[in-house]
Order: sequence, then C-alpha cells, then structure tokens
Amino acid sequence: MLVNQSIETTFGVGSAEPELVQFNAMPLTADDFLIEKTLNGDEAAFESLLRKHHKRVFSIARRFFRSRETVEDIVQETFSKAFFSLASYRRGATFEQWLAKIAVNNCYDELRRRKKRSESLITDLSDDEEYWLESKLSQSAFDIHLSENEREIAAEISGKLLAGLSPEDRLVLTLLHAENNSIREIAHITGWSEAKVKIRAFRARHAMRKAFARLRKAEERKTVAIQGDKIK
Amino acid sequence: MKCRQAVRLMTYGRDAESAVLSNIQEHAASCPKCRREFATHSLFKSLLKEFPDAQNDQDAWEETRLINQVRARIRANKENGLMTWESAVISIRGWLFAFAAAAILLLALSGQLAFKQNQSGSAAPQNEDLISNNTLLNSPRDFTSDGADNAR
Repeated sequence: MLVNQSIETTFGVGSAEPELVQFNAMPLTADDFLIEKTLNGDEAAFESLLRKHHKRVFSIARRFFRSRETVEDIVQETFSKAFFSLASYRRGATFEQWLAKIAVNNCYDELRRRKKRSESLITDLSDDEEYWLESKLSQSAFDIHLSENEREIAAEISGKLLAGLSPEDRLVLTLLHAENNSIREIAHITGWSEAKVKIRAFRARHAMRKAFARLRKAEERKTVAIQGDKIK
Repeated sequence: MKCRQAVRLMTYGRDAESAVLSNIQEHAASCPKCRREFATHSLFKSLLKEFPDAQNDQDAWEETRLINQVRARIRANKENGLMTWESAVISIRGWLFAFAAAAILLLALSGQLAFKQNQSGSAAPQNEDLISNNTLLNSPRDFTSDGADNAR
C-alpha cells in the first residue's frame, strides 16, 4: 500500500496533473496518485483515470469488434475489472499498459466465447470486394494507401477474413500488425512466452493466407457457376 | 538475404520492420516470389488496420455516459459480491470448511490405519515364531529323525 504523506506535490482530481511526483526517491506518477486515492475510497479519482485512459481501451476493443454494443461492453468490463483489481496493480509498468492488458484479455475471452457459439459467419466476397482485392494484389505494392471508399471495402474484406480465424490467430495478428506491438510486448500482454508468440504469429499468418485463398476460391466458384448458367 | 529469412522476418511485424525492413525490400525487389509475398503481407496489414468501424470513432462516445455505465457495473458487481478475491473466498468459504474437515478426517483415518499396521507389524514376528516353531516340528528332518527313531 502506498503512503500519501510524503508526496511533495498535491493536486486536485481533474486538475492539471504533473506527470511525475517524487516519492521517497521512487517516482510516483499521476496515475499512481489517482490509484492510491481510489484505493482509499475516492471514486472521483477513478473517474479521472477513466477519463484519461478510456480512448486507449476503446481503440483496443475496436480493433477486435465492430459492433458498438460489444465495444462498449468490453470497455465497461475492462474498467470494472481494473477497479476491482487496483490493489494488485504494481508500480513500474505504466497504468495504461496494465489496462491494455486487461482490455486485450477481455477481447480474447469474448472472441473465444463467440467461437464456441459459432457466431462468426464466413461469407463470400462481393464482386466489388473481389475486384478491389485483385487490383491491389496485382499492383504488388509495398506501401498501400487507401482512399475513403477503399477503406470501407477493406474493412468489409477484413471482417470476412478475420471471421475465418481462430481467436488466438486473430489476437496475435491484430496486436502485431494493427496495434503495432513488438513480440515482447505481445508476450507481456498475453502472458505467453516470446517463442510462443513467434510460433503463433507464423501460424496466424499462414491461417490468414488460407482464409484469404478460401474467400477467393469461393468467389471463383461463384463466377464459374454464373458463366455456366449463361452458357446454358 | 534468403527468401525463407525474408518471409520469417515479415511475420514478426514491428521487430522486423524497424531493423531489417530495407533489407527485405531490397531482397523483394530482386525476387518476384518474395515481392508478391511482401505485397500480400502489406495488403493483410492494411486490411487489419481497416477493420474497426469508422462510425464507431472513439470521439463519438459520450464520456459521461460511459462513466455512468462503468459506475453502474461496478455497483452491480459489488452488490453481487463478485470480482474481488475477498468476496471470492467468502463465496466459497463453506466449501473451504468442508474441504478442510474432509482433509482432517482423512489424515486422522490414515493415521489410525498406519498405527494399526504398526501394531500388526509388531505382532507379526510372534506369529512367525509360532509358524517357524511349527515348521521345525514338522520339518522333514524331524520326520526322518522320527522315522529313524521308530525304525530303531
């Protein structure tokens, strides 16, 4: 338990907070101070933490789910869990990282729940999506820049691709390529070893390629069937 | 750089990008297969980044509503007695007592059993003595000696 008495600088909740407060030669961050106040029963301090970090939690949840209700639920659950686990939070890692870890674990749990219920429905690509994908692949570009229209199509294709992946694969790919985490950071967030993350990343990429090929094959089959009908 | 190495490094995202991205690109420029692979990889990355629904932009979330919802959830969890270690322990306290009682009972029984075995173990040599006495009496040597006596 932290001690408040020797905190050199004091600040009100929601006021301009200094980033670091010296505390017995150990740096006490503004977040640590708010956590301490929350642990002492100050709910307003927790609200300040929530105001400060909710965008990060939202951005994580949005990487995994598109439905507004689900994202909202994940965010609420993350802060609720954080509130009840605050006593276990140790200074050293940043509070945001700690919160991100809870959020990612919540997302992973939700993905697994959905997979068990087989909620993810894999649908074929539309003609527009297929055309867009082919054109992008034929460009063989290293850097892909998308226009507003293209972003919508890309989001749709992404949803269909990710629906075909296991929760583990989805987790690793999202953290690695969408959230831009390093292998070490992912290992820290998931609690897996770095070797496991590397293996999982490799397999996930393979699975994504397979899902990609499956989607394209389905589209090819559809085109062949349409041409067959026309010939008849 | 070999194709295999390039593909492996592509997989590891930021770790590879910061250190050897230029090397991979250099290799991919001269290798059509890796170029295709790298292009597909870039496309995957772009697709993954575009997954979030643009309409669910975090700025659109009402902060006050969120705070109220989180507060309500915390209150509900508190009322349900969930989420804390203390409450978890309290909720299974009955079971803990039952397990403790069962463990004590088992210990007592095993102790008693061990004691009985010890007792029977210490009694065993007496029986063995008896048996060995009997066997001495009924040993073939005795029989032959008896036979010899009878013969005499």
